[in-house]
Amino acid sequence: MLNNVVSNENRCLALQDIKIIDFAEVFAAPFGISLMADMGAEVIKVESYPRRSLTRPISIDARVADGPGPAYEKTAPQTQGNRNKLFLSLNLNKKEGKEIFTRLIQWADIIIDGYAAGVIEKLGFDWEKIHNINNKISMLSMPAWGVDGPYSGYTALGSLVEASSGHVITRGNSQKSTEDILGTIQTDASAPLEVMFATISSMYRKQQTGIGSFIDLSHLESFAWYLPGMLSEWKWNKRLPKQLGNLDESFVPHGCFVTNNNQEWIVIAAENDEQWANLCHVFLKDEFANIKHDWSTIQGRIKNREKIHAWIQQEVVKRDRTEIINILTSSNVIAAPVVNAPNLLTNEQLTFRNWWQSIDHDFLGNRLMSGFLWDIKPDAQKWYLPAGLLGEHNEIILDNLGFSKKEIDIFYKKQVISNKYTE
Amino acid sequence: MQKPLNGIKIIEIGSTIAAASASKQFTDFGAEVIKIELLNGGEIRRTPPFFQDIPNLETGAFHIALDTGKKSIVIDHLSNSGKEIITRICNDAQLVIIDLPVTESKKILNLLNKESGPSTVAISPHGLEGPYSNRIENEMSIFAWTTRMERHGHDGSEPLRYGPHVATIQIGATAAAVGLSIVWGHEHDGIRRDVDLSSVEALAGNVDTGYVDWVLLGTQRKSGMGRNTDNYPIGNYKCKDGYVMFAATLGPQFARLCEAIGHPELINDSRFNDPIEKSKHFEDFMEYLDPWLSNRTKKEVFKEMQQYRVMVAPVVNMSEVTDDEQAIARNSFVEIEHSQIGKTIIHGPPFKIEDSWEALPPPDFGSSTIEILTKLKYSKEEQIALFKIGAIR
Repeated sequence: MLNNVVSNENRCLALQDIKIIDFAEVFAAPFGISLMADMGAEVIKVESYPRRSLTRPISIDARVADGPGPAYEKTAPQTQGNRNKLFLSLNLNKKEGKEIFTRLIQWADIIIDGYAAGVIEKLGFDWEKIHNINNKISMLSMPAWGVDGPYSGYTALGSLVEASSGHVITRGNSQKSTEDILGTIQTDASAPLEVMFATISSMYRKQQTGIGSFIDLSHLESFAWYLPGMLSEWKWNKRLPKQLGNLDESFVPHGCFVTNNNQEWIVIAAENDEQWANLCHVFLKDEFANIKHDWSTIQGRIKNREKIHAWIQQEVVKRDRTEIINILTSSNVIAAPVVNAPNLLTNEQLTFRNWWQSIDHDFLGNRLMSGFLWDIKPDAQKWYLPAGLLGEHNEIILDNLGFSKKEIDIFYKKQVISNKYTE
Repeated sequence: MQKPLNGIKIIEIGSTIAAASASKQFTDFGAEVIKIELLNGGEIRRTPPFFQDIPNLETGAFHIALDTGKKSIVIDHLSNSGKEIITRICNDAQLVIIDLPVTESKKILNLLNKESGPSTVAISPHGLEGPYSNRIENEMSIFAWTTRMERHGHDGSEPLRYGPHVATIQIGATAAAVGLSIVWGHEHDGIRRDVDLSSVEALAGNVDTGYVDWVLLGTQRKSGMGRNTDNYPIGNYKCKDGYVMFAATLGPQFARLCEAIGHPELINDSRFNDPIEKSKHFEDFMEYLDPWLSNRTKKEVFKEMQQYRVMVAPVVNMSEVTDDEQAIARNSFVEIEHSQIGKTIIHGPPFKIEDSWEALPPPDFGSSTIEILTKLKYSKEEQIALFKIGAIR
């Protein structure tokens, strides 16, 4: 049914034979589904009505962009995590809503359920029921701690999942307290990649067995495997991972330094003697790389980490950020600016690669959005649809599912579907 | 039962943590993965920690956890003789994942058969072409380019990277996701695809960055979800035996939290039910929350508050993760048998499909070199010559 909305011409269709129901909110699952839509998968996002998602606020708050139109059409996560999908709003507490959902299940290859364990079951669609409706469909369920076990049904955002992985406690600055450790949404960035890998794996499984399968994706476990070093450090050596900040135990220098504008930071590292010699040459101290000097060897540099970092800081603070990055990188030293969002726009490499995506949105207007996670040849990915408005594709979707115009009108009247939140 | 990726053959080249993370997903779900290793073992085998702190190509934690179930062949990829072997191995596969310095990757990619050869994913810091394509970077400098590091620091003090190798493994997982997609695509539409995966783009294009907030809202916020005294509770709070992390600022969450701590009257208290007033009364609120937290362990806080559907989790360290009741109930960790150190624990599957995942022991360095060459019909004489000139190990 995507053909009714967008042309297939010149876009990547590697996943065109995968039809997905996006039954998910906030960030990780919706974004992972967009990654598949970028590559040709056909996606229908089912949004709950009249209940609103966390990313669909009714009134203005800090997450809502300026401009005309309702607040719920203009939040950043809703916009970033939902490109290239068709949007259906649905009241699943009504029997007609369940009938529409049943037809969607008959249509799809996979339903991706991003709610806490138990939510979809309460709506009358547990895995057994879904599988009975269409035994070829797979279902991916991704509660924070997984579908079973003593914590099933517990609720969380990605930041909390990360706290229970063991990563958060290592991220801070050793000079500050645990209370000062910032939250991140690292697991919302890693889980989408597993959603994608799991979905396609289930398609392969279906090729083998002829039937769909159930995927239990614990948001926590989808990230926890990123920490093999920390796990082994404890299991083998009974040492808890240190708060290393920007230091590296085997490389010196390895750190972050402030330039002559005290708001602008850069990182510098030398991972071997050659890179160290290049760095010394830039700062006119070739003698620091001479074998007679303590700092010329990694053994000496590890012992003198603080002194070396202090020396580099002295040199860096005299200089302008762009100037020093240009000199260091042209001398084959690892160095990069710590960029903020506006800086990213001036990255000439991203410009060269046509990374930025110009998007037109009914209420947000024209915006330059960040680009794709990878570049594909011969057929490119396209951002062909901005995040949909509430119920934007209700008619197209229901028409394709075999509902008549008259039935669709009745659905609107009975508030089974809608394109407006009222409270 | 067959594993989902049985029958798919993947070649991993570069010996980096990113490339190993990418191909790990394939091998654990049933694909055959041949790891073409650098002569010196590369980053994946040389990265600490090591078993008993003894540096050894076989006993690094990253190698053991991320090279599960692969076959290892060691080839000098810079020599013509080595390149010839690599080409023959790759042209027989569905996917090549390569992570070498850009000039070296391009030389190998150019040798592959563009008609009937494998799909490819080339991982590099900035992409294969462009003004920065030949820059030398590492995880920290790549991270610095993405806005994520800038957000991860307090005003006036240095921005911080995340835990070592977390961003790198995310890059590997990105390569796995697109890699499997193009293998599927090739099978179904007959189009062979080449992916140019810039690590900066893979991180900056995902969520957890500052760009989209800035372009839509005009704000440059520090990393979200950190402790905030205007709108609360969010971030880390001390309890009896450590810390818990909250994300319970929004109306219904805050109300449920008030009920959980036995103070439902606070829901309609004018100090807390208006955003501006709430920002002035953090200390007042802590007079209610603090005593409740300080009488409970982080596990008790977690379990009691989750009964009220409050978003809260314990902030745990690595000594706690494997003994956690949820991890035990779900078999979140698995034991593998290693050739030198015996049984050891690694993380289990990133997701579960019935009977689809298994982590087999990692290969010893070069343990399949001769087997693979023999299978490719290199004669004994050729194998000896290759060994003698140092093109294989």
